[in-house]
Amino acid sequence: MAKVLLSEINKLYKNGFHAVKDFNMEIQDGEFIIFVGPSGCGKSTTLRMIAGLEDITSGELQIDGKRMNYADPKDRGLSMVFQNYALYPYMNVYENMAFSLRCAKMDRQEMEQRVHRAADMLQIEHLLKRKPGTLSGGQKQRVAIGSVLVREQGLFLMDEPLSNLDARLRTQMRSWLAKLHKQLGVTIIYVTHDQVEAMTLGSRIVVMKEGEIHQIASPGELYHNPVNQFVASFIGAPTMNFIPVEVVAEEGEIVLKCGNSGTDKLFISSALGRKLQTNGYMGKMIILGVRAEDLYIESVNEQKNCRLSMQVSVRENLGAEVLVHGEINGEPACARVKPGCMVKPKETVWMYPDMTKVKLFDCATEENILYEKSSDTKIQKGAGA
Amino acid sequence: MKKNTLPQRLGPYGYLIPALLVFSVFLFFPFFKTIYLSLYKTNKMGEAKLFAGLGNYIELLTSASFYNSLAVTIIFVLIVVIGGMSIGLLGAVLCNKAFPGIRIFSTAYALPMAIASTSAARIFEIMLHPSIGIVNKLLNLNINWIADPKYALVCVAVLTAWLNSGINFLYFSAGLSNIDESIYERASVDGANAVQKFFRLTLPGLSPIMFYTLVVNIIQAFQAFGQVKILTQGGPGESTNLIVYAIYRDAFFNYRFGTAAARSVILFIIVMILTLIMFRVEKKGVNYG
Repeated sequence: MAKVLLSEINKLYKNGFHAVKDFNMEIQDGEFIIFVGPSGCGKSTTLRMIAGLEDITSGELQIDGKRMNYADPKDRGLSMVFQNYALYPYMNVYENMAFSLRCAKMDRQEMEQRVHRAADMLQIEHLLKRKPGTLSGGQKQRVAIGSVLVREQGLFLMDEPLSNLDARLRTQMRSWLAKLHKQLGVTIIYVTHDQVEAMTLGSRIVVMKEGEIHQIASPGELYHNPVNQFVASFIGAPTMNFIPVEVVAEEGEIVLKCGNSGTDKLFISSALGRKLQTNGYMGKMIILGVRAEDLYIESVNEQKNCRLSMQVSVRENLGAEVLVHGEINGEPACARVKPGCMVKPKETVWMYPDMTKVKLFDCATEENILYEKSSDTKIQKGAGA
Repeated sequence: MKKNTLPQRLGPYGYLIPALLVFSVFLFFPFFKTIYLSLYKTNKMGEAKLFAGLGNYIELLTSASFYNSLAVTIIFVLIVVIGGMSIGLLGAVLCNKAFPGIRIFSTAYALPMAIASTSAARIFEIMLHPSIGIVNKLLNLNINWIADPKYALVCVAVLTAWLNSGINFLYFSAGLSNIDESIYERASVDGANAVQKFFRLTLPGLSPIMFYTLVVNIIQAFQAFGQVKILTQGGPGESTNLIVYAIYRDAFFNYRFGTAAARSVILFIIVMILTLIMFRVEKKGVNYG
């Protein structure tokens, strides 16, 4: 088990590229932390700085209370799984797994015990004499994890370890990894660009973009209380729908008007109305964020005419559910409806958003107007920055 | 089915003619002519005059001079192959990391490849000169490198090793760039030091190219000629009389084309046997990943 503290970590390359900006985070013992974000957001760079494979330009890295900025990778008490597994091609599986122990000059008997214990756990005993070149993707993956297990370190770093596997195997390995984490109780820092992996594995997720942390929170918190439009769009599949609406007063009530038709409008609670009013959004455009599963084909709100018209273009039947793609006021939108729903392409239908679950974003700053700072998120200094 | 006409059937062979012609003139004919000549005593024009059977071979195999040239050649080959490959490998490993000025260093290490052996020999001759040479000046010695039988062979061998190191550097650089960088990163995290990384990752990764380089270097070393001709002419005494130079001396100084041809055939057999052995050993020691 290991505690990791990253304070004001920066990575500035010689060509002036600022890959990681003021990264602050405290990782507790036994947490499963996910760094997630689009390509080039600095997540792998941060992981590599923790591993000691990249220099830290400024800031401080502590592992178990010790400053590790300049420590050798081998002295940091961690082990790492690489994206391409990085198996030593000239050694068989046993030698691959034992390599780190051999480097540490471990007693032969102990080494054999550890390798066999890990191999047994990963069900790769029968592969020990094979060379990596003869293994399948999933087997290589297990060997890579086995090489990490034998070291019995408290901190595992994983750099997109499932990205080279096919979809089915990825799902399998994902649940297997979750089980492994529970069993070992180690701290894992895991980099991925796949939000499904992030949501299913992480105890906390760090959402990054262009070198900055946008939000650090638990999967549920990220999903329901995203700090801004980027986080909202990145987490969840299909992506959250974003529809520009105008905040207007109608007959003493504050409503969100979509387009010029006059019929597409959404009624909001008076508390929310007051909040928008005091924050100066009256008469202004804001972005309504609504997830596909929160759009209904029948009214779910008190006001029956709280609805938006959608031009349907594609209907995707996924068996257990149907995804209806189309446009709401010219913006691409997607609704997740029951399989019995008979909506057809080229139709225009009313969509009823669940107003208790919609998000509202500022047009200019893209920040979530309804964002609530929770205890979950408060741990981080950089969160919501 | 219609039968192909004669021109159609001969067509494919027609494409082979140019290559076969070149091979015949420069390879097959000299090869068989050499074997033929090795069985004859010749006149000064190199024409076969008197059939001697294995006489030339028996004469060679009983002469001390032949064994001397064989011994000298073996020492020479050892120094050239080990030296040339070590310099090339060292250069390639050093230049495998990105640092300012890497292109200058890479060019410098690869340069010997572009230098003719004769001009390199001339430069070495000046450097090794007993009174004005830079080697004696720098080492504060007073050795007549080329004229001393103790040093002459080593000097020629070191020059040849340096000449070969250029192409070896190129081969090894190509081999190194094929090794996945991430296994070094994993090794760093696994706690391997530089020596362990070199012997456990780099060398096995280079083994296919290393084998190829070894074969080519050995064959090349056996055929070294230009630098001997310029620097030592086989002397002092017979201390640098490599087989190839002995062949040249036999044929064009002593006009004994028969024995020269017999030496050539023996050289061919030695190189062939060595190559066959190496290909046998290859299966055990070379990792193709």
